[in-house]
Amino acid sequence: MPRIVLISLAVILAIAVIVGLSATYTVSERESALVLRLGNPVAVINEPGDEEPGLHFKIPFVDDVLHFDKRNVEFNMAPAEILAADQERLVVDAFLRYRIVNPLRVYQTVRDERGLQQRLSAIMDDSLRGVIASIPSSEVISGQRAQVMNRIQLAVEAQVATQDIGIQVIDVRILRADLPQQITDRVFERMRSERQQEAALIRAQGEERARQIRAEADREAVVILANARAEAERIRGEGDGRRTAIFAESYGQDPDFFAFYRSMLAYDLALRDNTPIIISPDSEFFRYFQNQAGAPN
Amino acid sequence: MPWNDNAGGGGGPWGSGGGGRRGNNNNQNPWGQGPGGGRRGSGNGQGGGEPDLEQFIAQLQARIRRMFGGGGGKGSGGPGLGLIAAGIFFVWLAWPGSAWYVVGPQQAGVVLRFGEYVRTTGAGLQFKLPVPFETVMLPEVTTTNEVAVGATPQESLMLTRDENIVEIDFVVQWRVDLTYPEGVRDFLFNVRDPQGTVKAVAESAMREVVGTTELQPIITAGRTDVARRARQIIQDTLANYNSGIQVLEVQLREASAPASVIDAFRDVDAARQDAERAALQATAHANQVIPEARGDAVRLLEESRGYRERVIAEAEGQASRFNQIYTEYRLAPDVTRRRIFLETMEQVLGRSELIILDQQSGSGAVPYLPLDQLGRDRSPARTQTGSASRTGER
Repeated sequence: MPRIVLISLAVILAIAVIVGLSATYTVSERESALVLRLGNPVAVINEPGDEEPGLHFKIPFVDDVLHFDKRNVEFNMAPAEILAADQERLVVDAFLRYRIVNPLRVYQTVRDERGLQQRLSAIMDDSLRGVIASIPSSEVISGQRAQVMNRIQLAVEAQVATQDIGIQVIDVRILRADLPQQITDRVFERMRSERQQEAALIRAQGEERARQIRAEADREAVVILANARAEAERIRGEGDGRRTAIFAESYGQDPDFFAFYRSMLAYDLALRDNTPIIISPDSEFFRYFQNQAGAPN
Repeated sequence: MPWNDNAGGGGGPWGSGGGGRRGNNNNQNPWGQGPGGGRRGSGNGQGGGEPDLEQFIAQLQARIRRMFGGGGGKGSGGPGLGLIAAGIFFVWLAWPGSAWYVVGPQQAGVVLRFGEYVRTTGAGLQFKLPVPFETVMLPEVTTTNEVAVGATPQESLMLTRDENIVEIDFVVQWRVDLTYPEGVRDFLFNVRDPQGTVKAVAESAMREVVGTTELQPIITAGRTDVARRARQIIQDTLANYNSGIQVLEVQLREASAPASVIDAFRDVDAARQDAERAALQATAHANQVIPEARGDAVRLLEESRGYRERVIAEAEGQASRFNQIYTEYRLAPDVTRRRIFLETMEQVLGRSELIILDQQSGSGAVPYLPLDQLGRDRSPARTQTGSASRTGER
């Protein structure tokens, strides 16, 4: 008898534990839970705005609890080649961050996270193409990237709202917006030739500057010398002028004597040694040569 | 068959169990039967199928009876049951992480009650309700984490505003944001995969910044500015996610022209050096030519001044000489005039090769003069010095 009591006690205990365990469930801070009663949704626990994480109870074996991540989750789209408004191809790699805010809608529309991501992939692809097709590639790459991301986010949000899939789009960011490989190669080629051009220009400018410096220096030197020569001539002229004045003053006292005196000086200076001179005995020099009286012959 | 023989003999790989079970199994496929028999054999040790199981259950029942028997029937087993319950309870409480936990200096202790956040505790030994009720998370909150972006060309090559491509390799340092009270909570509960989030946001932000900047500043003086702007965007975005992540620093490890065009960029630098050198050489030339010209100018001026002084002095000298002669001449003009004439003639004719021709006596025939021989022994040097000294004597 006690043995049977014991066994039934153990069994009851085990059943109690099993039932107890299946009558409770816990909901973590980072998730929310959807309770289905025989497939019929009856409650959503710990939704955003209705925080109730912790221990909860349900009807064992009747209620089914599905957990959904409540955190900010990244969905990264595979890189896609997209035509921009100027017909340039861009490889765009974008990601989206979302949060499940309505687990019931998620369950109803896409069932689970995998289904959700498939749906998001389609929405993202569509929105990206739609927005980028209306913008020139340069705007996507550079200029207004923040604005472009904003527009894509609005497009995604609009679709999410229409389809009502129970998520909140937190952010859409373009990770990469690059040119396809063969265009990248062309960019490299262009960069290289731009640099070559730049280098040639810099060298030419250096040469130009060098020549300019040389030319200016040479000119300055020439000017310095020319000015010096002019000044030198003026100074020489001063000397010559003074000389002429001195002579004029001095010789002007007796031009006749000056003519004689200067002629004598000139003969002496001009006629060098052994200059052959043919002279007549009748000349003034020989006045007394044959006649001591000195009568002119 | 050797295989069958081995199995039958009990020394085969399947152990003695296979042999000990039943003889008529010998002709069966060893693959099918061997393992099963072996397992059963080794589980028991003594061999035999059904009886063994029964015996085992009986033993188990006996053991259970010994445990619970006191409580259920006679009460004599009370101390045994209590002891075991106490043991289980003790292990439950004493088990690390169950009712107590140790928080390291770099950690925070975040206690959850059935998954619900209850409190955050600091470093040291801490207590909580044992395991099914409360669990603890011990995130490292003071540790600086690093995310590197730019390891592959796909990550590192970025387009600039002027449609060039720059190679960027950078590191983002981040940690849990402790500047506001809920930082740790946000970090644990709001974002899935923080490290991946930081990386994706960082790459996106850096491309955004690079896309609005021209190539030249990025690879030269604008590096720190690029890093600073990227840091700001990353921080703002992560704050927008309520991620509880604080970006400490964004360090640009590399920001340069891509490897395939770097030579051309280096050549531009070389060109700058060349240009600089050409200009310096020209300046050196200028520095030589202009002072030389100035020196020449001074020399010219001094020469001309010298000329002026010399000419004036000479003129004054000659004038003075003339004046003095003239003064004396006026006292006896005729004599002086004649004297000067004669003295000069004396000088001149004295050093000349004189040929006296009487025109009247020689009127009959024209005399022959060998003109080419007349000047033969003349020497210019002698003539000059001679004349100079002679004029000076007067």
